[in-house]
Amino acid sequence: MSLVVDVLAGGVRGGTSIMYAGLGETVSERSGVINLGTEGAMLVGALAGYAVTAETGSPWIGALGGAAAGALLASIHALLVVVRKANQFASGLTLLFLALGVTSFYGSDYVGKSINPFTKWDVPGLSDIPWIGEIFFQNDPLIYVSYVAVPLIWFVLFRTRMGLLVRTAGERSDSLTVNGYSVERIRSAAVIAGGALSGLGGAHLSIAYANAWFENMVVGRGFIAVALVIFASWSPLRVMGGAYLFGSALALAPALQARGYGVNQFALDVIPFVLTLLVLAVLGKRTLAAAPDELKRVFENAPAKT
Amino acid sequence: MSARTRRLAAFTGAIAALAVALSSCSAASSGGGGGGASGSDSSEPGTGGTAVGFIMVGPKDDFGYNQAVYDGSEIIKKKFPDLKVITAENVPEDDNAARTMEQMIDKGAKIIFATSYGHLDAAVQVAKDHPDVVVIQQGNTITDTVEPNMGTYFGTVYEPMYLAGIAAGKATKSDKLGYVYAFPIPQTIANINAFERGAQSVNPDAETITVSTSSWCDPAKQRSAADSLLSQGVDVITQHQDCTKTVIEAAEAKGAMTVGYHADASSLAPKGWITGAVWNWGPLYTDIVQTIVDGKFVGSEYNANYRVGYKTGENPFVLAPYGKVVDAQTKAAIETAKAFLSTATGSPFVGPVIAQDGSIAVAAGKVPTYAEVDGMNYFVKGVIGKLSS
Amino acid sequence: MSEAVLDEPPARSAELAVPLLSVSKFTKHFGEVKANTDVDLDILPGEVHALVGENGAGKSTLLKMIYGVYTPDSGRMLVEGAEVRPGSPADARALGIGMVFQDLRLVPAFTVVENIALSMAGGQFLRPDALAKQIDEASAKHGLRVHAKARVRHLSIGERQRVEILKVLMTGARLVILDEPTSVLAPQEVEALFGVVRHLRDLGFGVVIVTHKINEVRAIADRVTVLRGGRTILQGVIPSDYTNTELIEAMVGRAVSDLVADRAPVAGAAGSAPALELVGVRANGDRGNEALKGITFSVAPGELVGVAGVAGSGQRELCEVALGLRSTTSGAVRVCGTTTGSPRAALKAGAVSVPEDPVADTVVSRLSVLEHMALDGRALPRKRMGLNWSMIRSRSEKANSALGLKMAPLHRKVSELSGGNIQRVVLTRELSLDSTLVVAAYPSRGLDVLNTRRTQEILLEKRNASAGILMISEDLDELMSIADRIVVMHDGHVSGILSADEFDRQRIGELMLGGAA
Repeated sequence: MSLVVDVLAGGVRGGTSIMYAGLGETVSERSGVINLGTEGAMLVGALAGYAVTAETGSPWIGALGGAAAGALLASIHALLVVVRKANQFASGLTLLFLALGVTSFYGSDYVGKSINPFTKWDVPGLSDIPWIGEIFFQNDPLIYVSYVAVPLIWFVLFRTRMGLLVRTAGERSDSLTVNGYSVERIRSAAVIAGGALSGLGGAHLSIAYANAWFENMVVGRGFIAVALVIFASWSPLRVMGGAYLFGSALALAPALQARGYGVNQFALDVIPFVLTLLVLAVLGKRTLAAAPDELKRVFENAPAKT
Repeated sequence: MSARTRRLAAFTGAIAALAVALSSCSAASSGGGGGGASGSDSSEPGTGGTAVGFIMVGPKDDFGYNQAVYDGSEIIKKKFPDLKVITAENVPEDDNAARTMEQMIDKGAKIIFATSYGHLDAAVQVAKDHPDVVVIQQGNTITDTVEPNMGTYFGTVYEPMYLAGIAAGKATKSDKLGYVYAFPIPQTIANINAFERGAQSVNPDAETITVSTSSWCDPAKQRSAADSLLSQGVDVITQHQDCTKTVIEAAEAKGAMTVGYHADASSLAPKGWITGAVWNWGPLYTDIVQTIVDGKFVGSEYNANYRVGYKTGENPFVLAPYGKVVDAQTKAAIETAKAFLSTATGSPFVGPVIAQDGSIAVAAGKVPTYAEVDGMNYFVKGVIGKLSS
Repeated sequence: MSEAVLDEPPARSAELAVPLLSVSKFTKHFGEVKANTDVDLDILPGEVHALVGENGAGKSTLLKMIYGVYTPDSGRMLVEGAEVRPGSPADARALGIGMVFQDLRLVPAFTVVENIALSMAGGQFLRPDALAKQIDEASAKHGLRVHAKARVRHLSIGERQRVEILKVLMTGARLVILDEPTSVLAPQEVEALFGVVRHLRDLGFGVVIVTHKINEVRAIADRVTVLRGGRTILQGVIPSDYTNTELIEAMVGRAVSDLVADRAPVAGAAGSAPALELVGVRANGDRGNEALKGITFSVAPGELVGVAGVAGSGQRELCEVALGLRSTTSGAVRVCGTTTGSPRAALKAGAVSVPEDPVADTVVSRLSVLEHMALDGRALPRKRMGLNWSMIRSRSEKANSALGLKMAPLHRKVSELSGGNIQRVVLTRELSLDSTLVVAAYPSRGLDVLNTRRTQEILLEKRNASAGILMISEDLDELMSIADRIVVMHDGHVSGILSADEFDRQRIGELMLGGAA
């Protein structure tokens, strides 16, 4: 297999978990709430997905379990940040450490357990297309679900009333109150939905991609997802592209090594963040200008308006 | 950031308060405990205890390193019914290790096995604080003087890897073998080189492609590494990682064969299992404990940096049971090789050994010592992949 | 349903028609604060009705009760003869009452279509193209030029107001309430707005304009209601039946005659260095854009120079470079002859500042009024190891009585004060100092008629004492009555400088919108 196909295929497979979390965080940030605990949501999603699959024998139920776990963690964030007006960064990070401890503790029983994971399913016809087939259509079912999730989330955000309300919460929340909506309810819903998607991303890691549970197996992908949202200017379609780009960056090291090239692993691991910094440095104000207005206030440390 | 550093953060965050509480408890009680149990100065270290402690850096069912330690501790339970066996999983390689060992001493342990490479510093500290307790460390080397109540031990990991390489070299159809590893530490380099040499000895065209994940257990990176190796046509994969499930199952799903490491994972690869290099700590642990309990530890072979290989005794690192793929001919070849390695001049690295860059690393006919093998900082010819600096 | 509710506007009828809205004896007390007491108001279909009063007179409380935000303690409200009790803005909207807020609750990042969709009831699935078509139809019908697909962020204030009005009409309003709509507009845009208002009146809608500007009342209103102290002073009267003085008296409670500046040249000022001199000044704004594009003018000692311009023309940056708070990319800034590049230098040269947004720029939330008075830029009076608070206290009290703005008590925390009160603290502090240059940005903002008057008097007193005054204001009448010259800014340039004998509303309006000097 050529290097390019190897890297891109690895990018799609390895990047899907980041994409789910990125989609989730996009929804949350579009409503004006940033969740640095996305990494934690992925972690609890990974463990819950694995554990539920192990107990029920069905990876689909496991995936739902992962999403539910992520939603549960995010609901704490919503309670702290939206209802009690706590600092968003502090709350997210605290939940991350909570998730790290909880999953390390409860996960030790599942480390060696075998499960019935999501297995590769070649899409008939499409998987035979040279290059494209290998990259996109020889994957596990959750990846196929993600192909549908992206346009679906785009549609909900930009073509439904629900999405309009979520975006209004993130741009100008007093426009919501004036029309009689509850900003708290809408933001909480967005944050929890975001957590569910992040949890699903974590579940993808454990029950479809790596097919294992090990403590802290998310290793920073949640933070890559948060950077991804900025990189993609809060657009679901760009999140997809960016996730594959970042995933490809992560897949670069083993692909190069398997062909005999020497690589500095750590330098390659840092690429997603360097890319995000580059985007911020070069496009700078324009990128931040694309941020939802209420989110900008979070970065300026202004107290959240409701 | 390695998985182990992250574990440190998780534990510090999640149980910091608990640790403080417990350490203050043990500080209160160790004064009383230390005074009463040791008796006279002339009693041998390690004697008079009621328990044996084992601290492990990871979980006991990781299909790998720590599971092997746990299995060894179970043997001790059977062999020494009068001694309680205390095990602790997920003990990080820092002060937490010292604290955990102290707690075990409070519970009556006079013998502690610190079973991970990075537990050495904590072990040395605890040994200094408790001259009546024998603390033995698995895997590392004490560079200054070895205290009377300390010692390290390890097997020679690359010897069974050489034998496994023979099986791999015979079984491969693509002549491409894959090796997933964490860091280029001496043990790993020796493993990879021995594996390739073993394969070459029966299949001169065999190549070993190496991919490093820079982590002892990062399942996602392992999957990524396995994918890349398999996409290159590798049909036998092995690894030097703490957790081995992901790579093995990825290989099995793609129809490739597997050589295991640390533990027998044949249940995970019913079709592709060839063999593996696995720990069998039982006999060595038993002998160490017996020596200590008999009061003969000080000055014994274990009161030093003890290393054992096929030549010198019972290597605790043994070959796992064979899979269906291994035919009788291959088994015979392996037996012959093992016998050779057990002789005085036997070694996987009898010269000439040609390094990747073509130079002669070991002259023809020369047999390197265990120490010299430890110092190998190059890959042999036939190994694909650059050693990262 | 997602279609706009485009009811036929109420039939144009004679004076004795049923009022669109009739409020009778509305009373609302918040504890001891009697926000509204026995307030009456009636709006007929097909009329423009001005609701007038100072800040704190009870206008916003009345509106909030009409709009369903508050429930009145007592009183009745009738819409087209039927008694109603709106319990929420949604109820009010359902009754056909539409409100356009002063701060225009539009979402800048959204398009016009999305903003209107937000306010309209409808199903889950948005149909932007269909809605855009409806918007185009409605805008043509009501004479409100609006681009449906435009992003609100890119629209001018005037255009945004039109969007708000259209939004209100499309959600079924027959009574449109405009809350202080002209405060952010240039004169031409005010005319355009009034044109729209008249058109709506002719179509039979009822329009309420909330304002405190008498000349606007005369220009547009058919009838006017004046509130003061929570009560109705004049109700539904015809503006031409009253003189300005009578109307102001109704608003304020006592006669306040027009302020006329005599504009006599100040003795001893000639020959001295200008209080403020700007030569070819260029400077960048916060977003990296160029905010000042070559400003040249000066303020002589004993001169009051007013600065007019649409918001965002560079006035803020102008004040900042004058005070050394913002660095210039080229050009020179001199206060009393010395080049000042820093606030310290400007203070030393004798400058004082009344900033545009005192809460953001001057106020330290947890400190008291007294502590704020201490932070006047002078050296703090010491007493052994600490501060001499009694001296600061007596200085503050003297300043308060000298200026007569009735500042809040010294122990109050500034963060708890209303905007107008904070303004009075800042004014008292800054204007009590001897200064050579006063840079005042919108000094009357948030002040009622009496305090506005007093502030203008103080500025004139300082002018007459040889200080140079640079005053930014959006109130052209204010500038035309007290300034010696007016500098008009547009898009970072000085589009024109007029001296007192050249003052003309039309001309200034043209210059504000960029017309040739």
